[in-house]
Amino acid sequence: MGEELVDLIVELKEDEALKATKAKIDAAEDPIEIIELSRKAMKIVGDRFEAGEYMLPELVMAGEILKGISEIIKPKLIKADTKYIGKFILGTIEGDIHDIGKNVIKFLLEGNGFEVIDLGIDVPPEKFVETLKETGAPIIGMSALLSSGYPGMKKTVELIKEAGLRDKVKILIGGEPMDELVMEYTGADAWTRSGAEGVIIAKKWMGV
Amino acid sequence: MSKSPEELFEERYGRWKTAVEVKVPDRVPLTPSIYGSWAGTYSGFTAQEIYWDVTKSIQAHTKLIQDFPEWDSICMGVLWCLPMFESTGQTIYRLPGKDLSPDLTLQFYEKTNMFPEEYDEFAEDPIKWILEKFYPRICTELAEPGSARAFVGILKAAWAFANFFGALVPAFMEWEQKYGMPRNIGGWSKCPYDVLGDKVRGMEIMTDLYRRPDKVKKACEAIVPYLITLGRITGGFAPKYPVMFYLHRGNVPFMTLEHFEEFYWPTFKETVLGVVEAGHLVRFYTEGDWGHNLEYLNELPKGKVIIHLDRTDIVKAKEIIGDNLCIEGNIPTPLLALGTPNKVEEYVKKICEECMEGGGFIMDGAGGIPDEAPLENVKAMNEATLKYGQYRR
Repeated sequence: MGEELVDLIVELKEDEALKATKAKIDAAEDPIEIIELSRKAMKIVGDRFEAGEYMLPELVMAGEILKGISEIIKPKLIKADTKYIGKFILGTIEGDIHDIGKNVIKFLLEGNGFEVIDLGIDVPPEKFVETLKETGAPIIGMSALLSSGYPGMKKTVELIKEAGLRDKVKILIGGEPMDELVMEYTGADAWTRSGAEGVIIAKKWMGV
Repeated sequence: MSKSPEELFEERYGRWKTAVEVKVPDRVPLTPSIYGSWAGTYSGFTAQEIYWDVTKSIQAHTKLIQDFPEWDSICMGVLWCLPMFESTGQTIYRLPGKDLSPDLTLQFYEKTNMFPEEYDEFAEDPIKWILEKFYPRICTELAEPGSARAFVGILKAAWAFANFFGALVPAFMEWEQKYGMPRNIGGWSKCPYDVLGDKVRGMEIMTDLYRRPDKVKKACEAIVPYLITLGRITGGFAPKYPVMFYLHRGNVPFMTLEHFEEFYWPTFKETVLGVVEAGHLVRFYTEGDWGHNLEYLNELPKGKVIIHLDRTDIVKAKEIIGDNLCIEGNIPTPLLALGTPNKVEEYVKKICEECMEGGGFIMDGAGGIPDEAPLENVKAMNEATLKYGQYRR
């Protein structure tokens, strides 16, 4: 029965998935169970994206269905105990206001059990460092679509060094104009152009 | 004896045109695009100055023409009339020196500007919807159509545009007649789905593919005639040069190939053919990686289309579309911005070796010349193209 909801989400059948969720709630099923099923579905959606079967519209659509499910179960939810792999500070770097890439990796990270602290777009290096100090997150991810993001990424890494935190955090840079050269220039630990690959890197860093 | 401007023009334009027709010129044409503000970087102007003051932009691009006679065209990508934008109070672009630091290139701020229930209205009469709903929504000064404020806003915008265009036309003529330098953009238009995706529905277009697929299709179909006209009118000012299409939302990973075939390609192809039928060449900037989508491009008429490649594997592109369409590119943006001249030379040599055979190949950066590119890397690109791009001695 539960697997049916998983399939409906994975196949992006919005109306049916929401109907099935309502039916479960009406039948007084445990909302935590529904959350688990949704998470399982999101994992499959993420895997399909990684495999190239699903593209951005499918990710976005799955996210929308999840939103709808959350709305339905929210009133029944007393307290959700969520276990995370770890915190991940994420943002589009200063000098760039594009967020599609950032939102993709956010979706995939959350589907894979990361707690994402999303700082939004055009994020100044100081904000990354401040958030790092506040949260002690083990990973920072900076995103950019334009080469105008390079200097901000470099500066963030420098500020983290100055704060004496460089050995406590792994730094990932992501986006279309990233490669080995940009990684060397900025002093980051890894680079990626793919959200899916970014998640693999992050999981490796967390030892999972 | 030095060549006259007419001779220089013929030589450069002829070289480029031969490559466009997928034939073999004397050497690989070198047409570095400048989609951002590198001309400013080079001439000591900020992006703010280049974007807001067309006379400074012209000055900077003229200097490039003087200093880089080895180029086969000049690209003035900053064809945005910011004083006109400002007069309307537009809110969809973030502007250097106003919303962004003075050194940054203009950026598009994506949001949803049409409600889903407006699809039918849009498809019924796109221009009416754009004038009565879209502009009032995205331009603070035009919020109330018919009001005195909106009227003044439009007057100011028209005045700003007249100034802009009035400065550009003589500059374009001077570039051709005094320096013999062609341009690589004539007019422009857009892919129907990208119009909806970029400016109208934003990211929500992606959920529309599932929630209201027929409406998306109808809306795309409805704007085809307008986009053909747009390409023909803007291209009509300089019919020698190609009508530019910047493509954003069709390639992997923006949609599956099934969606591409259903939603992106049919109306885009129709638009392109409509522009080509009027006698124009067309040029696409295929942003990102088009590796999965290349085959479709072969359906376009041979010798009429230039494909500027961003991150697509250019060797693969040569293989798949190289017999039919001219490919342009694609020195990676990070390499031009952060690499060394040696590495740039190596890359240029490599793509010349693998792509120039049989013609139909033009040298450019993957995203043109990035704002951050140091001069020595641009020089390395120029020299390497002259060195490795020769077809006969």
